Amino acid sequence: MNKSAGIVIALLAITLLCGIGLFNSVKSARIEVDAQYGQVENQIQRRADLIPNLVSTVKGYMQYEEKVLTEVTAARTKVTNAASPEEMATADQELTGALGRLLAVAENYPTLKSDAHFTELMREIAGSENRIAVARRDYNNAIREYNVTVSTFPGNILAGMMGYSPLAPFAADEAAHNVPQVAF
Amino acid sequence: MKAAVRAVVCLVVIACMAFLWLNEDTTTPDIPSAPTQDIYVADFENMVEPEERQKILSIGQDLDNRFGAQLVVVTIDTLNEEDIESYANRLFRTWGIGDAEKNNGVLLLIAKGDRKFRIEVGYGLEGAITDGYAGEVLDGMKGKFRSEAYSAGIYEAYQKLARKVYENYGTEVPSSVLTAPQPAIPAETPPVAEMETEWWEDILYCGIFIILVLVVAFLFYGVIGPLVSMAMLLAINIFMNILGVLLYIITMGHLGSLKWQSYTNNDNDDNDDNFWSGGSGGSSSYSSSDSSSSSSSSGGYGGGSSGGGGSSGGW
Repeated sequence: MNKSAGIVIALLAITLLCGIGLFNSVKSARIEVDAQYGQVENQIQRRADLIPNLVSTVKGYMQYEEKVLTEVTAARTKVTNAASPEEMATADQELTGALGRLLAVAENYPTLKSDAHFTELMREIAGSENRIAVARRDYNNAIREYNVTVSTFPGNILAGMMGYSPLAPFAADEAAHNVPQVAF
Repeated sequence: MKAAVRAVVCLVVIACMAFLWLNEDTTTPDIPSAPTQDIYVADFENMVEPEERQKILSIGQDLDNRFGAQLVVVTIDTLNEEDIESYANRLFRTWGIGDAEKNNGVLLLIAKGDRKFRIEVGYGLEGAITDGYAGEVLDGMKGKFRSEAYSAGIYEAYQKLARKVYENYGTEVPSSVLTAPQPAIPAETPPVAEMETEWWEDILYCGIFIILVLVVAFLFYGVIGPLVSMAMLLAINIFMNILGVLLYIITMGHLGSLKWQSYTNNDNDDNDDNFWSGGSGGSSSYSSSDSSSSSSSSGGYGGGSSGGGGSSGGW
């Protein structure tokens, strides 16, 4: 019952309060990351869902381009079956590459290009691609903030106790555009 | 001993402040600052004639009054080499177009110098204004723009977009969208009362907590002389007040209600949009609690966000 006991209590109270704030900020950064990843997944899925429709539209116009269409379909299946963020990123890049080649081929078919349904679908796909870009940017921002929180003082102390380690950003590697090895 | 305590407290406060400072956003110099009046037409390039401007403003005001939807035309000179998609998205989020809860904003961005335009649609209206529809609207605008009928093209596009917003909310498309404006009728039931606690409640709880601590401290130091105890009480009081305020700011996520944005004036950090919403001069969280109108009519953007839906083009 003296002054130093009082000081100890005050310090304890301060530590506790700061600890709560810290815990909340680490936790909410993590939740934000997860939420943003869900958004990325959604948008990638959304684009993948447009593919069957696109393929069946295109098929009527270009019977002799089986290869390109098979590639697109295969890439789409990979996206649907992706289990981890890394797989998802690669599969999505593959789909982008395959779609690009499909579009290049479509240039040779003026009637296809003037098809209203095709135009509409291509707009949807372009919009989807932009949504993926936005979601990916948001996700990477969330990861960056989370990483700053868990790897700088004082967050790193608590993150260590909570078992949180820094995360790798979602791959947006341009090189992945060029490596779609699709067997068929 | 006292000096040591003081040093520790100083450190804690400095650490907390550093933490807060780290969380602050960097500014975006190339996004123009949001207009505070006539917010539906931010015509920096003077492409819209006064007559069409008035019509657009009245449609925009009606949409905002009825649904909290904000349909905004922005004309700029150049994108500075940035692609229009990311520029539009940043502008959309920085200004906070549309209601913060419903995210029902639409941005029609025209970069005159680059001859590019884009319709960016907030999450809440993606179902009504599909990418395909947005592309059609832009196609319609393209023809008018090529013959330099900018004002007519913009007005026509605005009407087409407005029509979809009315349909989205199950309302008859008013003839005002085609001819003269009509007085606004509140068509929607006011939104459910907010679950979020008011910011002063947090301060109240903080105060109650401080009083509890003080009571404990008082009982504790009542044993020692009253002078010492009074001094200690004062010290603890000051600590707790500072900590309370800091903690409140750091942890409870009510930065928006503190109008923090009006100090930094720029919220480029996309992730925090929901966190920070309601601060950009908007009044969504306050006005939605008054029953007469469902949204802001006093001007200002609602703090809505967009996920990159829409379509782009050029002429």
